Amino acid sequence: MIRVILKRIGLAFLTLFGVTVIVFALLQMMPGEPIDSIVPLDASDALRQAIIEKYGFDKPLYVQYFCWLGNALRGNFGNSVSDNRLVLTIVSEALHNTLILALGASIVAFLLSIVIGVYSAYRPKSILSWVGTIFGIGGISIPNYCLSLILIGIFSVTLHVLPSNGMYFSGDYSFSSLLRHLILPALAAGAMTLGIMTRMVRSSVAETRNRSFVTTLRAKGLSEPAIMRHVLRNSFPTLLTVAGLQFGYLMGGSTMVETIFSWPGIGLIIYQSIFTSDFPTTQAAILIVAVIFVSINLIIDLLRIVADPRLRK
Amino acid sequence: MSHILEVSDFCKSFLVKKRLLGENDVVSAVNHVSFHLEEGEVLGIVGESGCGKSTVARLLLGSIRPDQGVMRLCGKEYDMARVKSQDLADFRRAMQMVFQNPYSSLNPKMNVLQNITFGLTANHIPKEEASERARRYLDAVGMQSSYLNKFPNSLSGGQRQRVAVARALAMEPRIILADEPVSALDKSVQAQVLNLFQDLREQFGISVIFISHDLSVVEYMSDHIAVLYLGEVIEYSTAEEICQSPQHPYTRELLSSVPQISGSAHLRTAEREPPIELPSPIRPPSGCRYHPRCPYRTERCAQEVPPSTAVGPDHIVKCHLCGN
Amino acid sequence: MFVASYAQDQERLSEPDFKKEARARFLHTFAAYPMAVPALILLIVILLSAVFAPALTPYNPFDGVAAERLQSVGTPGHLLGTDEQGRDILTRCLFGGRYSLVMGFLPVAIATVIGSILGIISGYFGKAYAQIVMRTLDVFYAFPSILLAIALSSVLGSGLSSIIIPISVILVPPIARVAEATVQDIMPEDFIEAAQTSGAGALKVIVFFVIPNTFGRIFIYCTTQFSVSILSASGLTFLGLGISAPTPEWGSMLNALRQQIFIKPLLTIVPGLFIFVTALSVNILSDALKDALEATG
Repeated sequence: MIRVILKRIGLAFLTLFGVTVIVFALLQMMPGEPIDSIVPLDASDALRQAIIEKYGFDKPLYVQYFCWLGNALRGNFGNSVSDNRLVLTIVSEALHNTLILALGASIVAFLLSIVIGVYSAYRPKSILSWVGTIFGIGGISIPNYCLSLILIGIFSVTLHVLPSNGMYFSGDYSFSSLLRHLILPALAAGAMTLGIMTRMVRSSVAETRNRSFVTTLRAKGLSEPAIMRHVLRNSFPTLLTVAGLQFGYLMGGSTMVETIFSWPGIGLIIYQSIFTSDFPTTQAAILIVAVIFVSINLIIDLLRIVADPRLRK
Repeated sequence: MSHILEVSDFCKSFLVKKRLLGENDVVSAVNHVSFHLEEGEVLGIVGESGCGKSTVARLLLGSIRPDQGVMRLCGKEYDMARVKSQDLADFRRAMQMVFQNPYSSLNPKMNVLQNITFGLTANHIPKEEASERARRYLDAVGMQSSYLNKFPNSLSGGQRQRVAVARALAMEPRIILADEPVSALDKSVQAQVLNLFQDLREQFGISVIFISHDLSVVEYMSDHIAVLYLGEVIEYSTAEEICQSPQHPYTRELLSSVPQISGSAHLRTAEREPPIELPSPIRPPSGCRYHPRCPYRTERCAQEVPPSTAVGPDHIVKCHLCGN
Repeated sequence: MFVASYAQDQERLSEPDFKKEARARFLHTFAAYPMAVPALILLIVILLSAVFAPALTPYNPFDGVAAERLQSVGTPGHLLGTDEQGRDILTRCLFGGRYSLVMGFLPVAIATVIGSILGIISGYFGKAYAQIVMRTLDVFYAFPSILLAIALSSVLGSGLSSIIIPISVILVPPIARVAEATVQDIMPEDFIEAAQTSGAGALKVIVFFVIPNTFGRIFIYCTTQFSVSILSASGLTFLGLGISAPTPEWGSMLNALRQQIFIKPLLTIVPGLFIFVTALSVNILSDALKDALEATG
């Protein structure tokens, strides 16, 4: 088992290495020279040359890559071009806000999908099962940016019950203020997750219920709730994997929702930095999201290896 | 009679598990296997599951590469451990395989005609001749040519196996390698397919290597029998000799496990020692590989590997107790 | 000697033609899937109306009448209202379908070809090759796909290709994985070994044995990616990437209209509904296809 775990961790590091190469390559491909984001536009040629040498822009690409990697490993991403704060500070603040949004979205999505999915696997003809079908197919079909606008249209514009942008009312930094701001973006961001998870839970539970070990349990006279416990335990690893992946997506994939609701998270940062050509911020944000994503996948795989003896070989 | 096929000293082991420390776990699936096949005869290879029968078949076809071993086929010698793809194509034309499971051996997306002619056209035989052969050999296995445009899904297991045999025959090989060709079939269909093999052998003079776990089937089919145990040929002789006067204790055990209508099989079972599981091939027993299960084992069996000894004109046994 | 089997043969022969029966069962299962037929019709309507857009509307998608700005949904003459420049939204949505459908379809087609080739080859040859390909694709899995698409798109500048290429890139890894797994599933089948030992080259075995027996499952998976493609592509244009302002395209129309959410909420989401309905139809269809293919075996 230790061998398998070590192998998996090694693989994660290999992936991370590939990630840094891709981010570096993206940075190189960005329109405009990275140097232009450092040197003032009116700088003399001599100053420009001096800066090129100082930052090593004249060195071969692989040397630049390793310098960049070394800096990135130490958390040194430089200063943001647009407001001159440390990139690391900006990104970590944004990460904190995105974490709140992702948690909100996934709590709603996970709970709802498990309740609806399990129930509709047991009662395929019930009303809740219909709701599950609609959530399942609707959730994966509706663009979250469109859902965001619909939710704003209903709850902010028409009913005036929930705010449509930011994280707090100005001057009111209480938890209830945050919660009211969180509801709409969390729903919009979590819709896709809700759809995917509902389908997943239902098919996984329905499939497990048809396995022969469940028939055996029933033949042995176990009560339905006890059987259900066995069923859920067997579907659990699959669900955990999907849930983890979805949480990863929420941590990095809510750019549109964050943009619409002006939620100051990592997605908004990436959007803004791309349009202001703030390369240091873009790359740091993408790199950090990728690291989080790889880590989440790694943790889930390790959990599964520990939980499922079949994966230990 | 001349030897159409001679196999000498085939060895193959598979890596099962790499270890951080110490030696890797290796399964020696086939260990110094040698035998020969005469023109027009049927050689039966028999052994319980896991003894390396299928590995032998795949080594012969060259679909897995042995660690060592030389094969002489139709007078040409091939070093199987270093065989080139040109040679592979060469001897595959002379040797065709019939697989165990007819439900998996035919391409479900091709009709019978295409299934049979695929190998022919791949070997640059013109289309017309290929379909002519398909017709001819389908007839030879007792199926009408109306089946040519049917798909495998609409055929029964027995019919599929006939098609598989026709496919092998159509390549006009010298040898047909049949790996448990009847074990996936119903008992009633088994007899038909076995008779088919007998007929074909008479009709076309083809040599057959017949692999099975079922000694009674092999006895019925074969001229010679090789008994395989944990990757080793422990006894080789004519079918008659093996069944009338088996020498190796394992062969005797195999024979006694064949259910008989007359006699007192249950008594003999009761007399025997409790059966021991087939030992792990990862760490095969020292000396004679059979000794942990052998009722006649001696000290020597655990220490020395028994040599192949001729005990009769056409009878080879690998046992310390036989022959001397 | 073959009397028994001939009797059996006769019985088999009297069965209705196997292929015809399979096709009938396929169609039946497909049509029995809830909403499959309406979804198919809807998709065809969307497709045709995008193709024949100029014939279906009297308006020009680029010219607006300033006096008729922001007319509500249901206004006579402007069934789905007008946008902030007084252009007919229905017209722009019909024309927009041309872009959005291409952006949904083309990346899937490209990624299906590339992903299947990579997946089939690594599934077939296994070992070292598969390790290299799959570990490389793992790197792409390390990014949330939409983020990778945004980054790539911003690098590629503007134009349709700056949408098509990033979406194709994010679709290749999952398709390759599914293709690899599907091929690995059928590799132990004896007919593969039979083909390999018949003297045919790897290419022939792949073309005649591997692909025909895996294509259905790979194809089904690819159809599920169509909606991913259309949602992501419109997402990129919604963020203002790729396609510039006056071009009628659902995502960028939604982006332009979203400033009006506080004035005309219903009007604003119209282009979004087109995206939603298209994705919904495609998803229902691919579910129905999957069911039908499983029933046919």
